[in-house]
Amino acid sequence: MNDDAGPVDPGGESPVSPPELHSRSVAETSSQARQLRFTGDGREYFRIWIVNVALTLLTLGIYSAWAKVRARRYLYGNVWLGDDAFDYTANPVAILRGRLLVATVLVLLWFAQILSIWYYYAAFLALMPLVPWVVVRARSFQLRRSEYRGIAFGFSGKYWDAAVWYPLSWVASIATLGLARPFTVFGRDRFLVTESSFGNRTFGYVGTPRPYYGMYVVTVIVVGVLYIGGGILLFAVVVARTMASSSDPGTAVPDVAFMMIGGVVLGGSVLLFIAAYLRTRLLSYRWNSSRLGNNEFKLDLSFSTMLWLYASNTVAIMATFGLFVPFARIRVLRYVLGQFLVFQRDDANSFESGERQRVGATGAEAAGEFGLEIGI
Amino acid sequence: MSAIPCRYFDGHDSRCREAAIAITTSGEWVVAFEDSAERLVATEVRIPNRISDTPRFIHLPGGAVCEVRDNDALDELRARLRRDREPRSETFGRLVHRLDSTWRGAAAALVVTAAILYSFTRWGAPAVAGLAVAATPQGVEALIGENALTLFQQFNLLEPSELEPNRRNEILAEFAAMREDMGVENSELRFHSADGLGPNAFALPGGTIVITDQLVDLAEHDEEIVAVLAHELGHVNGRHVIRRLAQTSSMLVLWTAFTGDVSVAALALLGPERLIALSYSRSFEREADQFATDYLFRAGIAPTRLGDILERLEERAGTGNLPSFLASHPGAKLRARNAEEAAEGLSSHPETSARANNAEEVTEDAHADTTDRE
Repeated sequence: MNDDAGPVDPGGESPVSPPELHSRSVAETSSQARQLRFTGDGREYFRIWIVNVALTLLTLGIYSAWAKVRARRYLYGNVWLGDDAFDYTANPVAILRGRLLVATVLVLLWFAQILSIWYYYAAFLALMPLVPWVVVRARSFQLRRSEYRGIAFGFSGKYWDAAVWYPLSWVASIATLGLARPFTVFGRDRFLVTESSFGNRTFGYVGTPRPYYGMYVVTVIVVGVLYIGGGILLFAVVVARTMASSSDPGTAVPDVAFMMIGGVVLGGSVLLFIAAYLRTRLLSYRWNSSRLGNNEFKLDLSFSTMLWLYASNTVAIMATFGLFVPFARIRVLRYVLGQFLVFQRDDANSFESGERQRVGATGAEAAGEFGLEIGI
Repeated sequence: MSAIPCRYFDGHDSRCREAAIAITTSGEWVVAFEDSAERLVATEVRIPNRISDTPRFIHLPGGAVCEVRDNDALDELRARLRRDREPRSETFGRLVHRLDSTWRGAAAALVVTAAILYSFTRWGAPAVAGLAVAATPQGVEALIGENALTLFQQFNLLEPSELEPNRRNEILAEFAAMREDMGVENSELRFHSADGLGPNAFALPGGTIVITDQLVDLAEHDEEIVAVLAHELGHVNGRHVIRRLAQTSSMLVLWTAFTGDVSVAALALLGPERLIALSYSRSFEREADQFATDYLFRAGIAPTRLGDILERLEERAGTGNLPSFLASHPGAKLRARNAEEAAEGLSSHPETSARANNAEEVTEDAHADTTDRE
């Protein structure tokens, strides 16, 4: 493999010359490492974002569907592989329809939980059978609306496969006190990848459950150490401060504000660790284990860089009352996409389209609400 | 007729052909290829709106795609189309691009956003809450209150009272008199022991008031208990809890719309959202304080009693009052936060000392009032 490929030469079009097309075989064809390039700019994206926000507020939320398409098109249009950018082709009206449906369900759930927690649980259970449907529709919509060189991605997952890896595997995780969790995440990844396609070619997955167990063991240990160590430290500091603040221990009052702030900092750092570590490892492993035809991917994300990005983004977003959100998104995308390599063995010209199907946007919107969004 | 270079993909395979796209005087789009004399002609073509300087993908009927990079040339070409033929959505798209491609447009959007957020916070949310409260039947409100109380008990935050029955009856008699005087008939007083919450009293939606044994013990004078109950009856009278519930929810919806992303909103905007909720509650607190001082005057009790116990509360405030998101179970933590919000606690308010001062100011105002009346 050609590992030393730097940033891709924008002029370099196809790596394989036409005569090779006929004599092509997996063993013979040399792979070319190509790096994804991200040309998005925080200031440009900020302007798009703030105009989107203003129009969304002015139209009482209706514009949000158009806003989403516009923001997405900006991001996709700035992701380059070789000499081509990606294209997002979703119809805003479909997204609006999906959002209205999701909003209706959320409002009903909200009313249910205000009236009684039991109504809420009942409504929640009643919605469970819809989860696999939502997953399949969301993934289909998102992939089918993503194009590269005039060819759309696709997803052919079926309801019952999704049912196994979503609601049913949650039950398995709970029943085994979390021991099955890494395996179900592996199964979910394999399901999502192997049912995805680009044109008429399906993605393959060569991952195994083992690394997932490794990631989760590390997570559990570090979170445990952070909580226990941080908790003891916080307790010690609070006790010391209380002792110091009062000569008579009987009337000493613990500094509640200090305890609260300490607790928030501790909880926040644990959350940041989980977000940065698990996302880094899961995303890297998922892509490193994925194949498309004879093409392979390589994504090497560094945990410390991701942790720094997440931590600084969180602070900046809070300090700017949310105005940093677009810059934060661009920063993360620039880093992640910049680390992404494609080992291309198939001719860039050789992909063919599969059959096209129309998919509504409801699933995609529900996935957005549940945080299931998966990058391209 | 000038043609713009483009990259053509037929939609069947990923091959790229260099081509040029142009428009005829009759409004037809023509794609000409470099490697052949073939020409494609299409009439119904939607040009995507321009976004910054990203490539534009023109989807032709039949699934083919033309990728154009020269955005300025494409805009010029499109401008040649007669304006009356342009679909309204495209006109709007051009307007949006004019806005978000310049800092002036972005500044205007920022001003509009800030103005909407401010006015919604200032007037919109309270108005929405007022409507929601007016539309909420008393029965539903009582149900919400019951639900919150059950939750408190489920989390072992409230346990059966250990006060002497005589002591309870004394306070209940006082409470009944107050209720009658104020005309807040739907209110009901409950005693509970609460080690976790400590000295506390709060009103629930529907009018139930909970007072903890710890607060009764903390009071150095019965008039202090009366003052606290008067304050809570002020919340019941103004239906503050249900109102705040409605305000907080409508603000959450707005913040979500603002960031366009639920997860970011939940993580990052917890701060501002809480700030807003607090500022609402502050005005409710002032209202309830005023309500209480009015009553204390009528009953011939020194309104400083309220300030006295509030200050003592602040000294002891919130032992064991950990932030709700440290609770391990996510469902439980959310419920705990809602329950906290559903109850107007006394000791959970961080600005108690400010309010103690307020109460004193109110007292002085009230003094002035009575002097005027005299």
